Amino acid sequence: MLTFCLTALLVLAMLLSLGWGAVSDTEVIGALLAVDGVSVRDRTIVWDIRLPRVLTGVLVGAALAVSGAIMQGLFRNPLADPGLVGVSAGAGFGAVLAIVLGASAPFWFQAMMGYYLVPLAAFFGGWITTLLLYSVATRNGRTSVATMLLAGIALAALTGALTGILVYYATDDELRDLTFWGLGSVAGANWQKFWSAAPLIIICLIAAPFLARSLNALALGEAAAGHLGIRVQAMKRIAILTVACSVGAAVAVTGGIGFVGIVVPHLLRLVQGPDHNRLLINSALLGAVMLLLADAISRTVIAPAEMPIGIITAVIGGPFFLWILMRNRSLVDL
Amino acid sequence: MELIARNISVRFGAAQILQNVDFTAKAGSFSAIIGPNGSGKTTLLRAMTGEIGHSGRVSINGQDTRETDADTLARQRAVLAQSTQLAFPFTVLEVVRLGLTAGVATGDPTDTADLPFKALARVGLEGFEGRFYAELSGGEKQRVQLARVLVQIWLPVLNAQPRWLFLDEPVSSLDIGHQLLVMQIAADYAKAGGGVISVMHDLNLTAMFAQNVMLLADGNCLASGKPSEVLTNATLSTAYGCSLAIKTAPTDGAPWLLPHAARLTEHRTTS
Amino acid sequence: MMIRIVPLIAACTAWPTISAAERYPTADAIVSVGGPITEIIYALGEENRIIARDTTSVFPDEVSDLPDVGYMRRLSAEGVLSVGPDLIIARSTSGPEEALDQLRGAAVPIVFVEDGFTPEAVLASVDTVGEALGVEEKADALIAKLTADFAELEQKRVGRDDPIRVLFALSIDGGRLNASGRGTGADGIITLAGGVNVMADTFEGYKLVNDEAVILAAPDVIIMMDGRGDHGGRAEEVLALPSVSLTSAGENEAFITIPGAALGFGPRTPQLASDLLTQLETLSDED
Repeated sequence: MLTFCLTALLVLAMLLSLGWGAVSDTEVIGALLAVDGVSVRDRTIVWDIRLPRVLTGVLVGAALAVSGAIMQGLFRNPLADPGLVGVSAGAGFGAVLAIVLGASAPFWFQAMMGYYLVPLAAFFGGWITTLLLYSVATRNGRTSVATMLLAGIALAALTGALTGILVYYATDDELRDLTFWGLGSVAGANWQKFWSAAPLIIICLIAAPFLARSLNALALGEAAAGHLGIRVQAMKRIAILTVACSVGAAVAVTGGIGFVGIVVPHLLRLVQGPDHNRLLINSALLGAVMLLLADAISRTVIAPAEMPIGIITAVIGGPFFLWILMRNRSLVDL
Repeated sequence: MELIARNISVRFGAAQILQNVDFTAKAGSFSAIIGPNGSGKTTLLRAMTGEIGHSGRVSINGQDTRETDADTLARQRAVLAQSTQLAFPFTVLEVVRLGLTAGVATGDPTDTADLPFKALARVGLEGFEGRFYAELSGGEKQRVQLARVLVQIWLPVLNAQPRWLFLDEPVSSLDIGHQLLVMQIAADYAKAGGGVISVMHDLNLTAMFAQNVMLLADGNCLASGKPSEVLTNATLSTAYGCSLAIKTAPTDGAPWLLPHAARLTEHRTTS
Repeated sequence: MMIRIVPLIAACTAWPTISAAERYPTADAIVSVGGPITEIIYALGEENRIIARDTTSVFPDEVSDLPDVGYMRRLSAEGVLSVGPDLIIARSTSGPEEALDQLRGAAVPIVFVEDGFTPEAVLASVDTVGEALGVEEKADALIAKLTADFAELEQKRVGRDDPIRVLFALSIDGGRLNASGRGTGADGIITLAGGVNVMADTFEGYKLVNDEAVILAAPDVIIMMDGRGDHGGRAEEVLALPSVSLTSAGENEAFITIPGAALGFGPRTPQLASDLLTQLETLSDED
């Protein structure tokens, strides 16, 4: 029932996002249906700007929310964030490298990469740090999520320091670009970026619900889950892989967007309980809705300029995070 | 059908926890593992359930556990830990349903809808389905876990193969009434053809319910056999470092240990 | 996908707009991206044709009544399109590329104006903007005026044997100065005003400099931007720095501020450079 409502809500949000803005609704429908007489400008707005933006928002929101739910199940803690697996620190660092050193790269390289340089660097950066954290935390085939968390803190400090060094060498323009990247934006979404990230995210979204049974059992602890027939170490690998891929692809396209991964699953748990069979699917839907909502706010609040979407998710998510923390004082268990 | 553990040794770092321990349990009987703290009882249990690595061989119903995959093993045996954490606000019903993770507990898929309710009734928690697990008392939580474990291996014998119930100090946190309830459930499971293996602290309950007892001390087996053979002053004083008065219970003739008459022997001042 | 061919053809027919000679004399819904560009449009008297501007366009004051499409390096295609432009004039460092591509795809012509911190760059910008607006005569007039102004400035500069040594700092960070090397607007205006940027040989852009570098550079004057905060307080703070106190600037308490506009090279540059030159001369006369 909830799933049905969320799906309906998502469709509504998508239509509203598509139709909202300077181009009026009838023009949007005309552009979508390729009716004659729709101006090039309006057609471009709908097909080349709004549609990829809405679809990107849907996929990114879904990816972030589902990854958050998976991470919380894996760490057995409602405050776990997709970033814990290391992917955000690495993606951020990859972006810094690309932004600051990209201008010094050979010209043919820059021409070849075009504006894919930063997204690709972010994606691979996220991957490398996840692999690094995973190998640090895994011994004798057993992955310790607690070690992963602590190693992640060390890694964040390291990437922070390296970023600081690069920031020193950056020009003013590069510094601004970096700041804006860190704040996140769906505005830069076009069809090329969408198609480069979409297949990976979609595969991860399809794979995620298969983890539900294992995540439920894992709530009893790894030993009990093992006794119930779950292959715990294999399942952890798959979970981490799924999160790294989907979040890596999402962050590569939109930059850093926070809090969706924490807020969405938590809200859903309050309504539908913690059963992952429904939680994962509903998280994807609600995550998409939330991102479209945040995007709508980012387009409205200082129009015609746009506020980076990461600010909006932080303004909503930060206080919410604190509220969860205060409610769950007794529930912190690594 | 038996559960056979041969030459089990376990090391954690520099410490040798278990040294070439042999253990056999028969289906249809209740086997207890007793011993002082640090003797390796829980470690032995974990080795037999497949939770930790060990050298030696464990076979359940004739199959080596290391060559059995997790799903199949989960249909043959279930484990009740001493206590269980739960990370999220599941309801009691959802927790008990987790016992069905490995698949069907009986031969018949249509049974699964009812099983959680039957299991809760069995442990005396009828009507608790909608309650939140986190709000229950320690004893109630442990009984919910027992219900979950029962749901996992509901039929003591499935396809002519006995199923095995492992318990790790299952009643240590329960009041006397619930202690007896849980022990009786385990005993009934054994009587119906299943195998029950339990690590026990309480020697009297062991004497009451177990048909087979093994006494561990310092990672080695000190004695094993029937309760009346193992629970003697000679063996117990060596293991536990105190001399106990052992009587015979008037009701069933089982050994009956009286702590009142205990005397600490000199060589065990600390445990 | 048949539907996609139309925008493709439209984009192809828009191709000629990316060539050098681009005139849009009839454009009257212009989005101006970049402070200096906006100033040039106002200086040419064509401001009524502007429909929106970016965040860095702050002069003259009435420009803030126009809608703000965002920061110049972080434009949103939809935001810009929402004001219904028929021409965009932007600094060459505007971005991001994806947004510019989307704007081109929507068949909105974009004219880029090269950045620079020299008089030549200013004159070239006026030329480009004038051509884009289709008001070449007005542009030529403005160029002539600015050329004369720059020449006058050069006259004032000539004849100084020992140019004043200047250190420009954007800010103080943890007790260190964020100084300007070469290739910045500060460097450009210092040179135009007849000073020597002490950090020009050492690095490009803005960097936090350490104490020894400041002392070795031996500036006679420290310059910062006007603006937020108490001028007197900042002067004290800077002059109190140990490194500064060991320089000639520190000993003579030579600290001046200039308006932020001086760092962006546009039509007001000759005047602002001249003001700075006068300030520097006054200071050195006081020695």
